[in-house]
Amino acid sequence: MGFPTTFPPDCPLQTAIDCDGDVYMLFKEAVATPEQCQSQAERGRAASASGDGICTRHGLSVFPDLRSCQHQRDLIPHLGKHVGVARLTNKHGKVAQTPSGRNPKHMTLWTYEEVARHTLFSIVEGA
Amino acid sequence: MFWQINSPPAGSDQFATRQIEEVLYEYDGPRIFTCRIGGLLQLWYECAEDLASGAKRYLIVPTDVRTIEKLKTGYKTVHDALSQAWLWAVDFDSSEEVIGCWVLQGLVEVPQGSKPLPHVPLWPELEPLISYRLIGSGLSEGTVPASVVARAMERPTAALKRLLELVLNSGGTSQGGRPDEAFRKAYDLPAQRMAFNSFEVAFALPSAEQLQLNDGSESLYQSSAQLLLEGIQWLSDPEAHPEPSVQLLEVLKELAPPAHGSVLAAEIRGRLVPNQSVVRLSREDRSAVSRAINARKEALRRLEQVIGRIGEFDSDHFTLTLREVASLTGEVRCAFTEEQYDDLFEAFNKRVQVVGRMNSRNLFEIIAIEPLADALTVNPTAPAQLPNGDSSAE
Repeated sequence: MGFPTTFPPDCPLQTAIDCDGDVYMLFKEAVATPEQCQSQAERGRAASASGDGICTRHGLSVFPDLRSCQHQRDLIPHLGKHVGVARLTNKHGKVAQTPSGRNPKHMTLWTYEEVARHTLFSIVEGA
Repeated sequence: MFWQINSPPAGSDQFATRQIEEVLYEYDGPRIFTCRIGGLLQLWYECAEDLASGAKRYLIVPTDVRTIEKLKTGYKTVHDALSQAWLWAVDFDSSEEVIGCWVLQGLVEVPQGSKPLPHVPLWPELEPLISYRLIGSGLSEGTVPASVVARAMERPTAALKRLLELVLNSGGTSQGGRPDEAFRKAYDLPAQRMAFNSFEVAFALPSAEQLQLNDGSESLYQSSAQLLLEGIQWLSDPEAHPEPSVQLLEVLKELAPPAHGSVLAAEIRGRLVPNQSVVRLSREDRSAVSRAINARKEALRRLEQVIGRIGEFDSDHFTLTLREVASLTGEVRCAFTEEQYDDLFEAFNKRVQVVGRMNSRNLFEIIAIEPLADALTVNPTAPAQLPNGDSSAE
């Protein structure tokens, strides 16, 4: 198991640990699709990053608890109305707490290259 | 690409060179932030994004430092801050060039999926402990009767007080009598926000300075939320869930709308309500709760006789536990008076026959005591019986 070769050096971050637990994320559609599980880098938005952002933009932004994800859905509805959960183990990749600006629960998930991220998530609310 | 705006285009020069002053909410980039343009503060809210093209639409309103502070403390929601007589909607392309600008006549012109829900605070930790909304015809700004305002202020804290008593009593710590100061502070919640939709009051979690309960108030509130959930589940499907205790029914009654008057329904949300959900209580719910309370109280009024051994004696809270109760597998927790103290204390660890009735705290309230001589042990053919055939006083 390894991370994509497109990751920058020293990525995932040193603070990342093996996945072990649930993470939550909003989805615009009622089914998790590959497009919805793209990282910022895969969407072509890594160029302007600096610092840890160079690495975090190669990961997926997720939440450690349902409540934070529900809050985001109600605060910025266009980000998606469906809450998805992924039950992760160390086979899936690494995760780090990456509180960014004013979003203290924010986490970044880096999955191994062979992991199809969208298959990890099941919609638990708004399905 | 985005939702259609029918207003005529507006001048966009001021937005051409935006400089973010403070990011208020970030998720894969800033989503809610302030900019200072020409010395004037503006609040920017990202209301739409086109992933394919990278274009974004923002709602922008003039603001000030005080409003931003209120956002950060939960006194205002983002919806509150955006609710102005008019606002800008500005589109940017992926290179952050302005590609469209309009003036909207308030948030009413913004579709539901492109604006925050009215009650949602800026950050999840600002979510109120409980938010209570009274709904009825004619309840709008300037027309809310004082009785409705009083109900919205008093009922949630009264319900929380009962919940906390229930939690503390189930842990063996009675809060009977006048509540001590620390306990009072746990339910005397700070009013965080009021809104006229119909009429809503949000109560914040008390500050750490305010709370002085030793056993961790956070877990106390979590236990309260769990209890409330049991009551709500019973209300939504009485066949599938056990009927709550009288105390929990009283909590639901506090929160239910009155049987008459302008309030037709009540909504509760917040940390005390699981899963970020909104629970709506109707007058029918109130009737169901009242019927259940009356049925339980009828049973509670019956005098009962119980025989057992005094296995535990709490001299501080005037309670005892009867063990080896005839025909019952469990124990019976009893409450007694100061006048009964000496007789019961002398009978500690001996068998007694007591007469009394269950009270609303699920304690068997002793009215009369008769110590039993060893030879006069229980007649197994005359078993003691608790109201409703319960096998335990818990």
